[in-house]
Amino acid sequence: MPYSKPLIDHPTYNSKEWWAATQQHRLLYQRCRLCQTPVFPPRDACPGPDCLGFQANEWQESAGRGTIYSFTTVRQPMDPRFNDDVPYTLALIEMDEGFRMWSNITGTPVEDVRIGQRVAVAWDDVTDEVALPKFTVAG
Amino acid sequence: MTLRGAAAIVGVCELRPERSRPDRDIPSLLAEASLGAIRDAGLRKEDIDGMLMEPDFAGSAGGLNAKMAEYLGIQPKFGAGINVQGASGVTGAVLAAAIVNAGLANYVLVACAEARDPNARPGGFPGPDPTLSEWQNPFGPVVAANGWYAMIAQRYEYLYGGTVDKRAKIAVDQRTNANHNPVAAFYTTPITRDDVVNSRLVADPLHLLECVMPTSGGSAFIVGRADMARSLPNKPVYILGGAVHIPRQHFQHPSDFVIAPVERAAKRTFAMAKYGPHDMDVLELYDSYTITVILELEGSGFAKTGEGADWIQDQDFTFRGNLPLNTHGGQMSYGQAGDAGGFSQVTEAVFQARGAAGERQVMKDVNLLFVTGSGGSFAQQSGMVLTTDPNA
Repeated sequence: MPYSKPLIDHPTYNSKEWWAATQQHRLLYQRCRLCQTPVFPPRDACPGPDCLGFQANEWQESAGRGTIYSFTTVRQPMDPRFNDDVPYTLALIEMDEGFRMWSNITGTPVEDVRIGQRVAVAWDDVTDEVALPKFTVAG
Repeated sequence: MTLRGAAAIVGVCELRPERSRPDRDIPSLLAEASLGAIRDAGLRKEDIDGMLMEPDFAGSAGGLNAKMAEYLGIQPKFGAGINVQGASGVTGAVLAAAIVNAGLANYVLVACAEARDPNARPGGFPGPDPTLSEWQNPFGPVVAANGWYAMIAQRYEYLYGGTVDKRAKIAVDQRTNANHNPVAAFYTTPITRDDVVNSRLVADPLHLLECVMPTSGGSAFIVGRADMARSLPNKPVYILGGAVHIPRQHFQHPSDFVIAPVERAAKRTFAMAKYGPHDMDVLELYDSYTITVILELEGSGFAKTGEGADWIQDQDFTFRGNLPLNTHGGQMSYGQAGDAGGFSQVTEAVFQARGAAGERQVMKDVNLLFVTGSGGSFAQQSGMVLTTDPNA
């Protein structure tokens, strides 16, 4: 059955490489070569303080580990394609490399998810081209 | 250089919040509110020489000014968009004051409206944010801002406590105010703390009665030169200070999101106004959710960081209370007409300052008022101090 949930509408020139890497289960982020600021979501400008770097952000591979910064259990999905998934957990994950990303916590009952838990990436191969970096609570 | 006291709000119009107006469109609502504000101010259309239209969820700001200028038959000599979402009401007032103070215009019309046609957008909510859709939507788009604000509330609970039984205080006191405002969406339904705690979870830990009530509606107000305002029929409501702070767009940004962006805006606002938070008689603080108000109270200096949820238990935020807050019911109980929801806090402050709020009129003297706006997911916030005292 084809995957029916939302995926990238228009991968941009900033994000094409990021999405392509998911197919190989590589979780990318960027680091400014001038000031070392970690950058996510990917872009061409460096958001670091006092850095005017442009097109100086270089792709790096994350080890895929981080800590739950905050989360919520969604009971009422905005998109009906998630109706069968509720309740599910959305989380903001503080990655060890210093960037923050939005994902799902899977494999743990929603009532057992806590801020501060260590998590590791768990790839979900949703199509032949794209895998989604979801996270599981690390043992 | 400052705009302190240079301008005043001289006319307001607030359209009644309704569940939806599928037969109306945004220009029609903007026109109704705008003409109402001009009438209220005692001005002629020809007097309006500045225009700031907030595009709400649709359209481009620049195009909207031209559209509304033609629609209304006004030819302003200065116009611009606002476009800071829920912070647009307060930001628009401050920007209008700056325009007037700079001599670019004498009377600036500021307006926003939301038709909320349920057929146009499922649930009446805006579509996914195109700049972030690829980083969020694959994991489940959130219901409006519920997901984001739920994460703020979750982290606040983790750091400081402040669970739903405490947050409920905001929802209950605001509802009492709405029960005295005949046009509020929840005029006829009182609620108790237990009702809030027992309402269903929307996105943990936020419960249904901690959330905004989406409606259709619209607001307009006119900011005029202080020296000209004195000859108009209404008591002018002077703008003593205002500021905006825009630290980020979304929480992927590695910042501490239990600190409200208004923290920095409030400091500059109070410095410009030459008053402090404890001088304020009435607060109209942008309320998308209970947690939003608690963090704005902390950020603006009314409560210490992490103590807000306990501090609010000792306050009476009703119109009869020691610190009246969101006297129209707030957007949770009055209604949130898209980005015009943030305008309702401005217009309500004007009604209270004039002593024209009817049944919900604050009982003590109203001299100084503090108003905030908040856009997006705690992305951009603004503050403003108002007074009717020309010598304040």
